[in-house]
Amino acid sequence: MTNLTAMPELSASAALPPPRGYWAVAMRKLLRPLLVKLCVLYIAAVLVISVLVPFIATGKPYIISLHTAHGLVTRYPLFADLTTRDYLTFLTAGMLIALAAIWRLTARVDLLRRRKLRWVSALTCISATVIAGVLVASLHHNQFDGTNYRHLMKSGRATGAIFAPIPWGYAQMEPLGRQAVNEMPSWRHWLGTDRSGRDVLSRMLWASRVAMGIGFVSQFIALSLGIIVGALMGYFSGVCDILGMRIVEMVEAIPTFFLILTFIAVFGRSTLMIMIILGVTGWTGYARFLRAEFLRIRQLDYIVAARASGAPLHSVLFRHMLPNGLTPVLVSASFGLAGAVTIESSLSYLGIGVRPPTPSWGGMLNAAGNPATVFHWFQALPPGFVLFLTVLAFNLVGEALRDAIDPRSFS
Amino acid sequence: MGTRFTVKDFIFLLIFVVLVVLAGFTLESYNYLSHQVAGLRGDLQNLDAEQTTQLYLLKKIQRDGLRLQSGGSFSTPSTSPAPRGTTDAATAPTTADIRTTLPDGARYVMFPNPPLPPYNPYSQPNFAFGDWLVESLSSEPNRIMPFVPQSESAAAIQASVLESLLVRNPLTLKFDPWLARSYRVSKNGLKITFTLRRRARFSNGRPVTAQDVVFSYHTVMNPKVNCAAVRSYYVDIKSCRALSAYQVVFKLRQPYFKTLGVVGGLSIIPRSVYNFPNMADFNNHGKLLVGSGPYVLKRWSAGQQIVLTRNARYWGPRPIFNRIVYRFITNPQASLQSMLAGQIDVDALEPSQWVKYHAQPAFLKHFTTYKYLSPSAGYSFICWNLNQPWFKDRATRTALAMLVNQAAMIKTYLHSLAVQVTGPFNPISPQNNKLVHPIAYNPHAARVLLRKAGWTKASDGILTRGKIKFRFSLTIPSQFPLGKRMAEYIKEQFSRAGIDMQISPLDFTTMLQKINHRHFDAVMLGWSGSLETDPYQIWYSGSYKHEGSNAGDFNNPLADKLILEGRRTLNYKKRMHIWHRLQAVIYRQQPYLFLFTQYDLIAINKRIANTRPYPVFGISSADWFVPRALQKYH
Repeated sequence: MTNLTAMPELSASAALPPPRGYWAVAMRKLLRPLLVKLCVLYIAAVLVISVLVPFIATGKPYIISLHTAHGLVTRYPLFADLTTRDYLTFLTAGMLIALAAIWRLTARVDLLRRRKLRWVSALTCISATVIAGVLVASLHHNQFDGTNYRHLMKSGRATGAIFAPIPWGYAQMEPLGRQAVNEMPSWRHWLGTDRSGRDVLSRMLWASRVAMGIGFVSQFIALSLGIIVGALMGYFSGVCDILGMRIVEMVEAIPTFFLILTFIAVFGRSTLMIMIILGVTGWTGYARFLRAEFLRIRQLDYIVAARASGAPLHSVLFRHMLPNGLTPVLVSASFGLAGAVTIESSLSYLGIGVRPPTPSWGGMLNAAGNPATVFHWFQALPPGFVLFLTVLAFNLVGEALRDAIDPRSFS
Repeated sequence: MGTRFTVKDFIFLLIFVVLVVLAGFTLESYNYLSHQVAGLRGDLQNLDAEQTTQLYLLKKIQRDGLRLQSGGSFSTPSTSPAPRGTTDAATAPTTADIRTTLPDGARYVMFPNPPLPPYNPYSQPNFAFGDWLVESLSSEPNRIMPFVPQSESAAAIQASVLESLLVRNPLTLKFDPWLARSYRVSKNGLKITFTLRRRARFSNGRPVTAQDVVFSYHTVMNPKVNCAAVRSYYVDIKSCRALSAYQVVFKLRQPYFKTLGVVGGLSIIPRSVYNFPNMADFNNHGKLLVGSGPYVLKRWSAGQQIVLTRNARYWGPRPIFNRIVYRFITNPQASLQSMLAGQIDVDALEPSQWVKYHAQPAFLKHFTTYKYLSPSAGYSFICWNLNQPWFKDRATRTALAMLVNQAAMIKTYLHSLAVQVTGPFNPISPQNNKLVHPIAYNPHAARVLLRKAGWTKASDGILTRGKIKFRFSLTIPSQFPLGKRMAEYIKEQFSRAGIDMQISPLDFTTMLQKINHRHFDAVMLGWSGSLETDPYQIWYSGSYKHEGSNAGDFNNPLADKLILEGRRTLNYKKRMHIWHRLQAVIYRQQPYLFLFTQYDLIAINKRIANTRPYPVFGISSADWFVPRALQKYH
């Protein structure tokens, strides 16, 4: 009874700075070293670029006035040229940002309302995104615009164009007659051109989208599968565990790289296929991790207490056990991301990754020295360096995260 | 009791069994003898015919002395550049090679010994047997049995293992007897008789007989055997019959200009090896390659190499190399690197590699380089699947050709080391019609033409005709960087006109499968060629069926007529005239986007001697040897 009377006091105390949670402390610890800060910044920058690259590197101007038979007509080719995939990327990115914002904004709301608030707003956000995504996918038709706007400007058939900062599309070539292939860096092409006369910088930025896409989507699939299977194995143990572990062993025996090679040989190239294969074969590590954690946690007193007090299964699994078992999985997820980026680059380096002319860092590395006998350093260095930095950043952040969430290091 | 088995019974039984066995044996030996007699009788007939010929020739020689006659020519060992001092063949009595016209108008050619290569390696001052020849192949064949594979790499391997009745002399371009000792072509060209060399043996020791020739022919003609492409060359042959153990005659329905090359070029395979009860099994023995050639298949390490080793029982001049090794190196850069490292002896260079290396003194110190246009280089093209809605009409196809700036492509991507082709014939072949000019690059005219063909830009910017959007996929072999660059360029050019072309690189084997099942929109490939190709295989409307080579389903009545007419025409000039007309028809129809033929850019390690190329056919590995001092594999 006294408890009830104490409630108002508790809510009143919410005005004070809330006690820092486990995650807040861990995040703070994570970002303390400068190197990790830089890495996180770098990853954020690559992510932003990979989402916004249609606005940064494209041959289509934001706005242009065309001289037509009906007089001056203003067009917005860049916006008209956005594909369904672009819109879906923006939507997903927006959703993730909104979710993060919800998390952050509700941090100060008191404990009892917070959970409900978060659930409701997160679900609204996700469902809104899904609805918008479906609408875009069904209503939006990709425009196919092969117009050479630079040529229009030069020939005086258009005026008032504002081009993107890097005014070259990833597949846009300099006219072959100009012999502008394998050009050194210049003001026209900041990182030079490749062997077909395409802007290296533009291709590099577009390639970040492939790398990030494959990394995040495949790891999302892998995490979802791994968490579900691992949680079930760890919680129920017994027969479920034995069967589950056999499945894990079976999947682990599949050589991912060769599986992808086979699929590419049979079904042709598709980025989505690579994502799915990487996801479907890459979950076993997460499942093992989570299983081990759950086997440990289910013995702990608070779980026994939760079960004894009659908490339903989903509540025990997802409210009490998962948040405490998930952290080590997230650490390995960041290594997994680096791994997926590496695999995609290796495939492209071997010339069997994405469909040409889609750029990819590995493919650009390959193109820099093959079959040309001259090694074009300016074609190889930037993508190689970016690839190296990306993998390094993910690994460093993963390592820092592991240290940060280590309970022994909490003071 | 009487049922006891006594010694006497045993003796009776023994005698009975012996009698039965003896009777069987006698029957068998009678059978054998009668076969022998039949064979001998055939041989006698054969000898008779030979004798008549010989008699005639003798008389002719007595009458004319040794002066050369128009139409027939005698080549004595001294005039052929092959002094036979160093070979087994030298021990055989040397009689003159004969090439003449018989009184009945038939052409008769007889070489008592298999001809040596014109640039005879055996007579070179530093000639030596031994060592290995290591070559690279840009793709691994998936099967190497005779007739079935269509890949060039399989053909390269078969060339050293399988042999045919005749060989083409690379210098005179005439057909010389090889497995055959002599051949006789009747005046009307409808009957060809071959007499085989008695000493020719397959690598399993069995003699090459007329039965094997007949068997080889029937294998090719067997619909169960998947070799429609080869079969298409033999459609005009009416019969193939063994006259005796060593004499075989081919009869034709109608004259065919390539008969001698086709019949004489038929790979002869041993009946003892390939005679499966169900000939469909032939298709399942992808690694079974047995012939009478100088080399035999020793080892196939999947993904790495194929090793041929010297046929110890070879019947002809002793093979020069102990081994021929074909390494599978798909990447041109990797293959050049292995060449520089001395791991392979011969390499075909990429244009960019040629530009960098062909004038480099350090490179030329170790390697000999050759650059020439060769009829076997063939040409590259994009084949439109004419059954797909986009490519049905000629105007659209012509517009597509106008959209591609081939001159710029050749200059930029191929460093001007290629020549644009204007039809299915090689530019250096007499078949080529020089009056057919390439379609000029003209995007504006192309747009007009597309509009005329009914293509209009829809609201989404893609050309549309009715309900069909101009969006198709171009299949390219994935291990072909140049093809990828060209495809990317063509894609960009097409996109300017509102055509959305997807590029889908596929593994070569998968790609061939898709082509054979006609599951493609457009495909970028190349045909290999020869001095005079028969357009029937690729352009005749009937070649679409049974996985034939007319994959795009080109079907033009005039072209069909010209093809059939050309094949029948034995007169060279008339035939060339027909081919020239055919080329004009085909190029006008644009069933392919004809691209170019590349120069052969060859680099050979200097340790290999006698590598100079022949005027038309280029280098020939049959001439090569490694002088003793430079040999490195033992």
